[in-house]
Amino acid sequence: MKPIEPKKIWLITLVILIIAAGALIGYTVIHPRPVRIGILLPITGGVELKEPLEWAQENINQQGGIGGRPVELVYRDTGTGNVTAMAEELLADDSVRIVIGPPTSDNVYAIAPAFIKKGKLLISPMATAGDISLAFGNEWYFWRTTQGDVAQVKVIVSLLNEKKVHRISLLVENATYGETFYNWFGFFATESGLDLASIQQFEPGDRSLEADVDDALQANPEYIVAACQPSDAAVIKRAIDRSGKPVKLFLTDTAVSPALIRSLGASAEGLEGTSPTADPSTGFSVAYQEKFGHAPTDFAAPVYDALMLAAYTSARQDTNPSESPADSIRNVVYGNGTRAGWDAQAIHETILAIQGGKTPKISGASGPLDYDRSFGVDPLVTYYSHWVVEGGDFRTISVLGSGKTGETFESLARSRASGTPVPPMAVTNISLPGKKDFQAVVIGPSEGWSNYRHESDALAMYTRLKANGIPDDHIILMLYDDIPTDPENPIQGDVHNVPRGPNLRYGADVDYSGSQVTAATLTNVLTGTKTNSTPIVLESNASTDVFVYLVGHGNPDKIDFAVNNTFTTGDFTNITDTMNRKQNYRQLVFMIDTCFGEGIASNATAPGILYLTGASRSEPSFGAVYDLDIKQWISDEFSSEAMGLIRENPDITFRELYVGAYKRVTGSHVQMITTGNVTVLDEPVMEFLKL
Amino acid sequence: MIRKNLLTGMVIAGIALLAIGTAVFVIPHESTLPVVYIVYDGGKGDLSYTDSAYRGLFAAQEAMAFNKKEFTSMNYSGFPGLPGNPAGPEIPGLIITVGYDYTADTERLAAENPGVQFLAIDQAGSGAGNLRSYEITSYGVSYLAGVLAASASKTHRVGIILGTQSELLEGFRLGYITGVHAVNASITVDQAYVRDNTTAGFSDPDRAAGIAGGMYGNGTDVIYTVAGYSGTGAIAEAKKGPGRYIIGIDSDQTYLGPSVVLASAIKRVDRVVYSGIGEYLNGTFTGGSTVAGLREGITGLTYNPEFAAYNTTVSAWEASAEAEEARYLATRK
Repeated sequence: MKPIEPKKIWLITLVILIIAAGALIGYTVIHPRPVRIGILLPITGGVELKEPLEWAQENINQQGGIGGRPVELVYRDTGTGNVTAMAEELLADDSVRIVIGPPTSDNVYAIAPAFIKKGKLLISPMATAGDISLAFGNEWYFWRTTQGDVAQVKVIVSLLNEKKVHRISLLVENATYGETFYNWFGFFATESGLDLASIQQFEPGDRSLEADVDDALQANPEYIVAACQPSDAAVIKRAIDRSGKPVKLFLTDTAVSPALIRSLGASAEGLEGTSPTADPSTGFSVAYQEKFGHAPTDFAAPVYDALMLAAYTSARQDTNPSESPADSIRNVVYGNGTRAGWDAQAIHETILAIQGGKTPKISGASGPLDYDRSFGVDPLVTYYSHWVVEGGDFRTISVLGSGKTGETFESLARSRASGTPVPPMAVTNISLPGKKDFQAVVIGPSEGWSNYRHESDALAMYTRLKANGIPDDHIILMLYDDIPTDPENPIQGDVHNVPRGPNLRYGADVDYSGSQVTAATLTNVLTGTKTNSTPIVLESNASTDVFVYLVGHGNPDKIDFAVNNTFTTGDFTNITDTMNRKQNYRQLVFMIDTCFGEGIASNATAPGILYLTGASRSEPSFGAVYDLDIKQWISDEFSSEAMGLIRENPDITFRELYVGAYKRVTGSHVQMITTGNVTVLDEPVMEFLKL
Repeated sequence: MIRKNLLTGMVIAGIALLAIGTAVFVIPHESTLPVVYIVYDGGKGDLSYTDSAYRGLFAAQEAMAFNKKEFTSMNYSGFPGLPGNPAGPEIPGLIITVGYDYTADTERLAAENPGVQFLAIDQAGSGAGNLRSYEITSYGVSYLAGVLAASASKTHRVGIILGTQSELLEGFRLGYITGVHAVNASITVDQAYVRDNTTAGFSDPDRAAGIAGGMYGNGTDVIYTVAGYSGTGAIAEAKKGPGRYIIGIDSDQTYLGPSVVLASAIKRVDRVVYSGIGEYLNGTFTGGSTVAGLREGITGLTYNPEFAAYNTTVSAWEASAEAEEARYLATRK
């Protein structure tokens, strides 16, 4: 056989290469590389999310996808396995740049830090905890398409106000779902003048619930608002009916289940509550009904919007490849001009505009999709249906938006007290002994990794006092002190108060720690009662200014100490009366950072007391500053803002500190209480905190 | 050497051709689909008239290829594709205006834009040329509502609440009264308007609730609400006591009050929108005046399953209702 000439071999190879290249390009044109979006949601298990997801996908792809590239959904069904492991798979997959999910707030805390660090976008349509936006705001890699349960709380309070209800009790399950209701109800009730007569957490499914209902009824509310599962809602309803009291029950979205009506039968009639829904003016529900023959589920619109947002961000990334994903999504959500819609045509037009370098104003199936300008994370408005049980079914009787939209508005999870705080009058016409001494007591009584922020804030205050020239023998530091050695602490021995900040534990002289940190110890310390177990106590007199700072957990009229005991309003009154009788202070200033902090000092009458706290008697207070490195809250809202104000203005007076903190603190109403003869109101705080 | 250059040139040309082809294929381009404008008489979410029109538009978009633009007011100086607004990106082929409030504006706009087709829903009058005025008469269905009210009433006193005074609503009012009296001429019919001469009467549930409360207090036990969203106030009022009933309007309103809504007089605005778009796209759309109602299936009574038994009684009156509707239209002309 005659050998083929080398020239011919070269020519044939070249022709084959050209054909192959052409075929490859042709294939790429006909089958362009898809835009892969991760889906980290429950796809099986009774929650219908695939329908809105695939409808959004169909609408995006119908008219050419993103520059000819179709959107492909990369499913990880959280109903079938470990969410964190699935998230890690998507995180490791470089072809997936945006993930829709995860479904729960606990999941968000578990996986969002890793996404933020890797610069990959996470858009959750279903995680509704209020503190998520405080934890991940300003990071720009975590977003959601529902504002969450803070908005639901606001809507419920608005509805009750419309009904001219004056007095309510709150019952919430002691689980992640109930937390936002527990945390925020008091705030919005206070804002609207609604009397929150009692607030209780209960263990889901526990028999003690009936007793909790009885307690709630004791407060004589017009309504009990309950955030819980259907089975517990039924227990509450029966207990109310048995009491014979004309108290109505208002439920939240988790109670909406045929099981509730089956369980209660005819007595379910008239029950009312709220559930998330789409803004009716978008037409999404009408269109959904037309397309699928049934109404959308609660989260259908936010799920649809999440994929739409992901597609717009991908379009922006394609056009601006050097831009970070965080900047791309910000350019998408903070657009301007005429608002675009959510249907196939609007999506196509919006994608074309984005690819043309424009930044159109977007809106979604769920509503306007205007986001908090300076914080990100949350849309400004979420919609809720107000339903009643009628004829054996849940019937929507109205739809309400949670707030206003506009560039100047913030997420509801960043709500701060409205109105103007009115500080007490200054006392100038009394004569006190001159100040000859200053002593401080700093208490961090909580234990456990999740209470990192309490020990951290206590150490921050201790450090500030030291920096102000107060020697250790004038500061009594009571600190549970388990955080430095907690197994979950990734930086053993360290406690810091700002991310990557200095180790505040280093060099701190702790006087009482662990099981020594009790309410009894505090009583002895403040009243100067030396015992074998409390050898270090205040040694003060009528010329001593005394400062007490405590940061921890509180309940109405009490403060929790780790060692299973509490410090009550009565304890506070007795101690301050004793200190007054023994002339143990000249002026006595308390800074108390606990939930329901106002209640502790509500009966105090001893003169010379200035009491500053982060929350009113009917509301919790919040954590602030979430450290992504250690996945933990490292400071509390009131302490963080108060310290910040002092840092910004070293000459700030107590009066100015109160007014400033009132305006800055998120989610609670800073309170100041003074008894008679308080002369330090207009004294600079840092002057008071001096020898 | 020449061969080698030729070969290189062929390779480059082949790849360039493929690249250009690719670019032409994937570069985004504006679509050239026909454009339809729709102007609603209010925002979506009214659970009634506008939602029905939108349902028709959505169904049409699912089935046919066109682009749409939606408006909620007749501020047509802002319509992007019309003369006088050169910034507009496209000229609409069809403009649908929904609601009798738009009658004069639609006529004027149609005269100014002879190249555009107009479908004027619920606007009786001078359809011609490029304007089809599509009047949905609710006389016949209101007649049936009257028959139902008379059949269900135990007190021999029924009521009707209308959004405002208008020629269009006269058909509802007259049809209802005629239907009631066809069953029993001695039955008293209470009549009230939410507002006298403004469409605000269609969005004031509080005022409608007050009116309904007064009627029920006077012994009326069935009220026909011809007042759009205001009707939800009357429904809420009906729920406050036993033996109080409502006949709803525009779309099936059973879910708003399953224990009090006997039935709803529905108006298939969605069908009018859908078929209008279909005719425009297939080239069969014509101007002129159309009147449709019970006989054409554009209106009808839909029952709450709880009260479906009335269907037997009321359906026996359908022929009379159609005949009365035809008589009414003829008389009116």
